[in-house]
Amino acid sequence: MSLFLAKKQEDLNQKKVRDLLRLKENKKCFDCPTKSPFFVNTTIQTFICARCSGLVSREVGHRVKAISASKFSGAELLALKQGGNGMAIKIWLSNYSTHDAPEPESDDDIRAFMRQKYYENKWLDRALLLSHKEKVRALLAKQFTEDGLPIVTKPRTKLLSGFSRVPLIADSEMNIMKDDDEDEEFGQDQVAPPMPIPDCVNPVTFALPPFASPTGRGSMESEYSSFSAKSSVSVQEDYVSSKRR
Amino acid sequence: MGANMSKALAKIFGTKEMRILMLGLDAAGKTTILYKLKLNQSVTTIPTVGFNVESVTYKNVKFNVWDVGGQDKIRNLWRHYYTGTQGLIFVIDCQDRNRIEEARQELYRIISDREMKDCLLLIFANKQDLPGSFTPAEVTDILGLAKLRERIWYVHPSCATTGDGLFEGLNWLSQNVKAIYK
Repeated sequence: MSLFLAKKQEDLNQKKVRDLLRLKENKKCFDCPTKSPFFVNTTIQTFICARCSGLVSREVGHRVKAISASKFSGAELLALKQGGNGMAIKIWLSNYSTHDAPEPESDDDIRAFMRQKYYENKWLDRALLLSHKEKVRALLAKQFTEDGLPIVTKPRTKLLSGFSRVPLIADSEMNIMKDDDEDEEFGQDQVAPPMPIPDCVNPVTFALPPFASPTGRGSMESEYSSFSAKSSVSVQEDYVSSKRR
Repeated sequence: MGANMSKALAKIFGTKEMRILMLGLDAAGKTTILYKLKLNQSVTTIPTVGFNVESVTYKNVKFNVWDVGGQDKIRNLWRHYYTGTQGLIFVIDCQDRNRIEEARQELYRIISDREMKDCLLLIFANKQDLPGSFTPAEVTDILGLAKLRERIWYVHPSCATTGDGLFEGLNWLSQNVKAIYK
């Protein structure tokens, strides 16, 4: 029986990874211009294409998983949700512009690009990398035991208060990811209204996290505004469908 | 009569064939080993989903080497390749100290299968060129090979990118295949 549950959880995690792949920022390989990546770099939580998966695992030494052929643990999934290509661009390519180095095309270009990116740390935002790592570590410690098993005994409210400290981007991403079974695992359904809302209420107010104040990162906000608009639609749809049921 | 004669001659002069299955955790270097053996060049590989098969002839033995992807979700497909396997090459990433226990479990799952009960076991302690990697003796110790009963096994250090140690491993296989398959 527990085996069955584990299998179910596995399928669920894989589905969520595929959902992450549907985000706009993850539709392009992190290391080259190839569209629709289907590998995950679990060391720095990026989505990459087949060619780069070989180059990254062989030459940089990162761990790579094929989405279709791998199991993803809850911890990996959480880290991936916090990361993704959008976050990785901010960390690894913080002050990169195409003037510095053109988008790589050939294998040798990609090798050179990776060397500059991961070894010479040419565009690395070290402070953000450290703070991001620390944040993910804290989140993991909160939700998983040392063996990687989810902590289930915590009451949901406690989890919610923990989540409310997460900065804006992470949560707006989660809202997009929201689906019916999301709250089973992480309990992050704070956007869902506790009771039926009258039709006159604009659902956008529910889609936005309650702490959506400017965080001093103006560029990020504008980048993600399209996402939050999208998320309001999806939440609305969720809400409508749940009401129907 | 003629048929018998030619069979006898083939036994003396002809090439033997050996079916080899190469398994191990993901990113251990199985595909790199396979193509280093076959093409003698270091190729950039991508994680294998499915399998690669190549035949390598070395010292009058034709090795049909099956290299099956080792990512966690497709590991339970390995058992479909067991039938008729004469030699198992299990590749260990010696630098990946965190996952050696996982590798040990997978190895024991394979060799406890009925279909694999009398195949040779060759373990490549791969990635010996990298700093901080396990030595073959450490690998033997961690995998608990000394406790194995009724199993012919051998641990050999290797480096797939340079090709060091690979043919020595095949040599051991070809020498020991006689011991069980006469």
